[in-house]
Amino acid sequence: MGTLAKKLAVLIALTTVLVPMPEPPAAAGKLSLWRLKTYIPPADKILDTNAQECAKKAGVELAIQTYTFDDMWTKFTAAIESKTLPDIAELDAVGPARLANLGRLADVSDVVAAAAKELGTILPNADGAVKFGGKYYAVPHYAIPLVLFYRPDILTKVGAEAPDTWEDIQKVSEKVKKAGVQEYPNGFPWNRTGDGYDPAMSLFWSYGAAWVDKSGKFTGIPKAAGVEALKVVTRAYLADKTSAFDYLSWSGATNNEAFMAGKITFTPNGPSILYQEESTQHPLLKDTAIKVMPKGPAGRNLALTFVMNWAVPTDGKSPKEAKALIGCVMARENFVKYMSGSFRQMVPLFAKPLDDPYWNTPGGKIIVDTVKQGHPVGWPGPTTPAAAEVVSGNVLTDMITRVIVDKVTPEAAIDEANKRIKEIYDRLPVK
Amino acid sequence: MRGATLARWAVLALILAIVFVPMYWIVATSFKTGRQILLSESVYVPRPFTVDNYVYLFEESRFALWIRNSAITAIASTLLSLAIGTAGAYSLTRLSFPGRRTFGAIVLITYLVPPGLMFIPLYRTFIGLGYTNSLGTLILAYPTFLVPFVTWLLMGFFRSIPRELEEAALVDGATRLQAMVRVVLPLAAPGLLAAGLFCFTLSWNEFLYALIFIADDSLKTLPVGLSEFVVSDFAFWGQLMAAAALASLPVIVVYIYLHKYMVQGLTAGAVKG
Amino acid sequence: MNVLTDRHRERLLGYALIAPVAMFLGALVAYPFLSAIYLSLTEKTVGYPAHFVGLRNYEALLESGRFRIVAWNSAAFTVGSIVVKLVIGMAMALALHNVVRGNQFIRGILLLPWVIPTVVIALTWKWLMDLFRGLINVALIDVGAVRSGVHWLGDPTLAMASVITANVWRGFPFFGVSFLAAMQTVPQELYDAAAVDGAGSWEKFWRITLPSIKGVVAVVTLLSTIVTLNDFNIVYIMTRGGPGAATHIFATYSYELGIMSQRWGLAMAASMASLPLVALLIVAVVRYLHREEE
Repeated sequence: MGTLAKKLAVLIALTTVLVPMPEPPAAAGKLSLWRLKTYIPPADKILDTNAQECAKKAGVELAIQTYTFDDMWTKFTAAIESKTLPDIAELDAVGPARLANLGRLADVSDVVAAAAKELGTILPNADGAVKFGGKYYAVPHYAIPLVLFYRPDILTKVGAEAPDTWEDIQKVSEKVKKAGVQEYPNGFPWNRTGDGYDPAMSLFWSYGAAWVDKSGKFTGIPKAAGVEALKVVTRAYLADKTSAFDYLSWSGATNNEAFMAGKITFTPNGPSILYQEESTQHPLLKDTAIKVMPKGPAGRNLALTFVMNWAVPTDGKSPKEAKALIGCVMARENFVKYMSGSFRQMVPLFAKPLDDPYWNTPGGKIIVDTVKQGHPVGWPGPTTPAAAEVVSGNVLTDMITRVIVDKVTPEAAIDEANKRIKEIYDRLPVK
Repeated sequence: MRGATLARWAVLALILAIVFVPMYWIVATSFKTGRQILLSESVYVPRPFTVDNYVYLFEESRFALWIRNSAITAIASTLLSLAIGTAGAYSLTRLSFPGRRTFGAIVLITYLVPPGLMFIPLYRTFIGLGYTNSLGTLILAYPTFLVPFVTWLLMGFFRSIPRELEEAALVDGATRLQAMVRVVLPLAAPGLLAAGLFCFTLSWNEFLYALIFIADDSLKTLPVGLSEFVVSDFAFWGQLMAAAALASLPVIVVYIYLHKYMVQGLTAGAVKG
Repeated sequence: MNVLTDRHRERLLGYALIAPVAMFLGALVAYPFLSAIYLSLTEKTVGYPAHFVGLRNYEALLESGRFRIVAWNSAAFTVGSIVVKLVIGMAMALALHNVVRGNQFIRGILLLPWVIPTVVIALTWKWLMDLFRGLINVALIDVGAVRSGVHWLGDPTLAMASVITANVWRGFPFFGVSFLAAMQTVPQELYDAAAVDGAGSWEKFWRITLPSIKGVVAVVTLLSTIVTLNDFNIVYIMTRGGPGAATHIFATYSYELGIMSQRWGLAMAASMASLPLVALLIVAVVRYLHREEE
C-alpha cells in the first residue's frame, strides 16, 4: 500500500501541474465563432482559412469552435440559458427563427445587402428562414438539399421509368421486389433524422396537407389529403412490404450505407452519397442517379430543411467586428473558393454563384434546382418557433409510424397529430 | 471437482466469446480501408490490411491531445472522488451519529438527477464561479455523479468486512482513524479498485459536460473528439474504430498493473483474518 | 464519563469524515437538483422566463399516451438489462473466483467492454445488428441458418431486446468485477468449515458466498439501475427510439422534449417522473442494509 500511496501522490501532483488555468475572459478585438462540422473536411478547412484571414486583415483574434449536427441544440441550449452565445454563430434552418423570437439576434440586413452586392440577390425562398418583420436576422450561408437517389440499372432491368410521383416510387418498388432483385427496395426512412422529417414535409405538402396558412397561422392538416399521403407511404411497409421496419430505426448514415451496399433502389438523401462514392471509387457510382424529390396531386412542394445561416447573437460584445467578418467570409472570392471546394455539396442561396459553370453537371443542375424550389420549415408561412417544434418534436414522422408500427388508422393518426400541432401553436404564438 | 472446473471454463469461454465478437469487429474495422467498409469487402478479415486509419489519427486529428486531456481529467476526478467517497462511506457505515441514515439516503438521491438535465444549472454555477473552459471545471464537475456512487459502493464493501477485525485493532490501542487506514482500507482494496475503475470509466466516457463546459478546441476530451468522426450523414468508421481501439489500450494496461494491488490487499486480509 | 467522550469523539469523527461529501454535494449538486425540481413545476421554454404552473406538466404527461409508452419502455429496458447483467456478472465472478492461472489476463479481456467509449459501443452494435451489412446477419446467412436477414432493430420487440443486449454487453463487467471483489473479502475459513461439513460447491454458494456479498449485490444493482435508467447513448445511437416509439425511453424522450423542442419544464418533469419510484427503491435498500447490520 505504501508504494501505491506514493505513486498516487505523484500522480495528483502531476495532474495539478498539468491542468491549465482558465483563460481570462474574451477582451475586445477577440471573436468567437461556432460552426457546423461537416462531412467534407477539406471544405471545412477552406472555411476556417478564409475566416482566419479575414480576422487577420481586420486585426482581431478569432477562435473557431465546431459542433456536430447532432450536438448543435445541446450546445446552443446551454448557451442560450447561460447567455454565452458566441459572437458569430452558424445556425440551422430553425435557429434564426428561435433566437430572433427571443430577441437574441442582431439585425444583419446590412450584411445581407452587402453580400447581395457580391453574390447577387438572395433567393426569395431563402427569406422564410431568416427574414422576420421585414428585417434579416441571419445571412444564408449554404443549403444541402435532399434529392431522390435511385438505381437506373435496376429500373432498366425491371422495365420501369424513373419515378416522378410518390405513387410511382411505391409501384416501382413493388416491381423490383417481385422481380426478386431486392427484398426491400424502398428506402424511405420515417425516422428521427433529417432523412425522415425532410421527405415527410415534401410528402404532405405535395398532397396539399400543410398545417398552416400563408401567414403562419394554424389551420390543421386537412384530413382527406393527409390520409391520401399517409396511405401511399405506409403501404410500402404494411401491404407491399417493399420497406423493412429496420428503416424506421436508421440513423442519417445508415441509408447511405444501405444504398452503397446495393440493397435499396430508392432513398432520400443529401448529395453526400455521390461524394462518398466518388471518393472511394465505388463501383456503384455509374449506377447511381439523382432526381428532384417526387411530386404529388398538389404539385411538387419540396422542403429545404438543411440550411445553414450566419447570425450575430446579441450576447457578444463586438457586433460590428462580427458583422464585418461574416461580410468578408461571404465576399465573392472567399465564398466561391469555399463552394468550389465542397464537392458540389454546399449550395449557395444567392443568385450569382448558382450560375457558376461549377454546377453545370447533370447532378449539379438537379441539386441547384432543388434548392431553388425548396420551401422553408413552416411553409406556406414563414419559419416560426412553433413550426420548428413540429419538426423537432417529430410530429410528422410520428404520424407515419403510428400507422406503421402501432397500427393506428390514418384518420386517427392525423387527429392525434393535429392535436399536438394545435397545442404547439397555442403555446408559441407568432410574434 | 472435475465437473466444476469444466463448468467454470465453459462459462468463461462463453462469456469471452460474447465479449470477443464486437471487440474483434472494432479492431478488424480499424485495419480496413474506407472502400472495404463501404463495399462490405473482406468482411471477416481485413484483406488487404491497412494502418492508414491509425496514421490519420496522429497526423490529421488531435487524437494524442484528446487522450492527454481525458487522462488528466479522468485520473484527477477519480482520485478526488475516491478520497471524498471513502471518508464518507466509512463514516456512514462504521461510525454512529445522529442523522447518518437520512444522510446516506440523501447522498444517493442526488445521484438520481439525470445529467442530461443537470448540465444547464451546473454550467450556470460554474459561470457564476467564473470557472469554465478548463479541464479543472470537468475535474470538479465529474465528482457530482462519482461521489455518490463511490460512497455507496464502498459502503457495501465496508459492510462486508467483519467489525471484529477493526475492534481487535482498537483494543490493541489504535485510534479509530488508524484502524480505518490500517485494517479496513487494505481489506477493502479490491472494492476501492472496483470503485476507482468505475469512476475512471465514467469520467473517461463522459460526453455531455465535456461538450458544454469546454469551449477551447485544445481542451477537448476523447468522447467529444470521437463524436466528430460521425457527422450527420457520415460515419468515418475506420478512424473511429482505430481511435476506440487505441484509446482502450492504456486503460487495460493500467488495470492489469493495478491488479497486483488487488491481490496484495487480499493477502493482507488473509494474514489478519 | 470515559464512555461518553468516546461516543462524542466518534460522532465528531463521523461528521468530520462526512463533511467533504456534504460540502461537495451542497456546493455543486444542491442548486442544480433543486432548480430541476422547480423547473419541472413551471412552463419553461429555453431562453424564456419560467412560469410556475404547479403539477400541470405531470398531469399533461400522465394524460399523454406517448409518455405511457415511454414509461413502459424505460421499465422494460431497465429491468431487462439489470436482470441479465446480474446473471452474467455473477457467472463471471464465480467462474473467475479462486482461479489463479490466466486470471489476470482473462480479467483484462473481460473488462474491455467497459473501457471502450460508449459512443463506439453503440455504433458497433448498431452496425453488427444492421439488417443488410451487420456481421450477425451476414454470418447467419453465410452459414445457412437464415435465408434473409433478421430484423434486429426493426421488429419492435426484437429492437428492445437488441438495445438491452448492447447495454448488457457494456455493463456486465462492472457487476462481475464488483462481485468478484466482494467474494475475495469472504474469509477462507468459512469455506473450509463448510467443506468439513461436507457441503458441495452449490451449497457453499447459497450458504456462504451469496449471504456474504449480498450487500454489494444490492448496492451494485441499485447503482446500475440508476445509470441504466438514464442511459441515453445506446438507444439514441442504435435506434433513435424507433421503430416508431418502440424503444423510446425517458432519456431519449426528455432529449426530444428539452433539447430538440426546447420545452425545458416538461422535459424536467418527464425525467423526474421516474424519481419517486427509484427513491422508493433506495429507501428499501437502505432499510434492508441497516437491518442486516443490526
